[in-house]
Amino acid sequence: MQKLRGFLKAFAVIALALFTSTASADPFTPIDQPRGPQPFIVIVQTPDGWMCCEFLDRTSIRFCGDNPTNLTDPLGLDPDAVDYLQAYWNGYVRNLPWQIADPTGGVRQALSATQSIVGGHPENIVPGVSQAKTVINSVDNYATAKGDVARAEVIINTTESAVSLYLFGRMAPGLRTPAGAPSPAGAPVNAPVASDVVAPETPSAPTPVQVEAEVSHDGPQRTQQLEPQQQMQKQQQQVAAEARAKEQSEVEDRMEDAHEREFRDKRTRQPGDPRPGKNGLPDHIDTNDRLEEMARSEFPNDIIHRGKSIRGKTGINREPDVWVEDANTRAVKKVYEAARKTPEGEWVDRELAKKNEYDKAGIPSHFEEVK
Amino acid sequence: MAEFDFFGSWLDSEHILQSVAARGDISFILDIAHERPEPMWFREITRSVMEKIECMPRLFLFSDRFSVFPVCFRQQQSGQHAGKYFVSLERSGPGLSLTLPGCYLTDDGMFNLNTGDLFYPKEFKNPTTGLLEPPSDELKRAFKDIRSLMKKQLVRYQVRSWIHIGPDAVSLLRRKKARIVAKGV
Repeated sequence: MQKLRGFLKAFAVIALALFTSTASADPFTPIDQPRGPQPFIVIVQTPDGWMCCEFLDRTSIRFCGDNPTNLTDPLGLDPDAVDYLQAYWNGYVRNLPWQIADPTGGVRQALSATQSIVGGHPENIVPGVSQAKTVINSVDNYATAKGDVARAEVIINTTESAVSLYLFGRMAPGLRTPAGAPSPAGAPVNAPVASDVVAPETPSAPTPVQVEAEVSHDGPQRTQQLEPQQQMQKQQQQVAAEARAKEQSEVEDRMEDAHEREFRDKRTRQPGDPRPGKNGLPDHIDTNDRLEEMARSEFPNDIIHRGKSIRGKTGINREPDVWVEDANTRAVKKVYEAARKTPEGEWVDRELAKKNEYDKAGIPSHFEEVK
Repeated sequence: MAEFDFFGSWLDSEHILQSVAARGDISFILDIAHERPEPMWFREITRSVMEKIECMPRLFLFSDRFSVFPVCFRQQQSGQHAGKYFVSLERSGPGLSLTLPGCYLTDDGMFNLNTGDLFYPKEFKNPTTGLLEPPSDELKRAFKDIRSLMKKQLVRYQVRSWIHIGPDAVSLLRRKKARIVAKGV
């Protein structure tokens, strides 16, 4: 614990110094969030695990443990930090298509691991950070479903190991645009973000993306009424929006390809070579069949899905083994998970983490032991 | 994740289905309880088909171009549908699953919009070898082709994030006749 505290303090100093030194010229503006002030999220890669921190502002930082699915506050800086970061994680960070952020797999692996592993050993994180030295490795821009995101990779070399920090932030429109797309002229510094999922009530004052949808329908008539300067601005916005849409589509394709490659590399098996986890072992498949049987029996007139994400409907980035979609409202009615228990008869931690998420979202869940 | 989420009204859904059916090589099966393990195929989207889809808005898509194995059924042992058969996508085809987006009228006169999706499982069980296999290249290509077809019927719209949505649904949103209830967008 002493080592951990030492590391965290050193890390705070380094990270804050880095953050404040680049503050005046950096391309970041804070990303939006469910509540509270405007933070940056920092994911720390270590040889033994991952740690999640956030910058509340330019002078304070919170440490949130080494596993964003089971956050802790090791320094006791803020008792509210756990819930806060959990909400932030659920509301924003986990919904980022991280695969885009790091096509080489580093961040993707990290976040995949954080989603599947619960617990961790923070005392093992990074020993010997006293001689830490920071290097800004790269700054990249990405178009994501949540908007344009910039990532700065910072390497901290220590006496015994190297730590990578990834700083993520929403880019200020006009500062940078992804893949050379033209910057929308006159775009506000902080683009407005809808406060809830209901569509904006003022389509006449669209964001750049809304313009794209609008042009598809009644663009010509509207364009004729605009001044030449406004027309030019609108065209530029349209070009930017189209470029982003195209980039997004390409990125989606790349994500799929990367996923398939990973599948072929890691998941294709030979007889007698079962793989643990989702749909891997025969007993897991049998349990899933039982779950489907159960779900169809319980909800005979609804839609039963297997192994598909519920993120779009619930905001929870999970793929329950089986889940029920209400055939009328199309909401998630119930999820079913094939789960494993410890030798002591308790659900393993990753299953408990899932259960907590479902409970928080008010989704009934059923966990069936894999037999 | 080979999954494409989208929104739309019932009219949008019909247009999407028409465009997919126009490919000419797709055979559809409704995700309903079958009395016997025999698939009820259809290849055209008619008014009567749409009426059936309204009750069960999920379809499976198979084609000679990407399906190698016959459609496999799983018999339900309990509940209201005991003894009936359901398509087991993980053991069939391979094939695609298309769930049409939700659009239903509420008591306050508004339409609630929820996601639909095009999807294929990560693994298929080869009935010959009994092994789980990744999706074939042909299936992935078909997924991309059909997704492209669908995107042509949809527009991009921003809520919190960008979504694909049918123009009729956008029109409902603009006229404040609809709201999006999916929490993940």
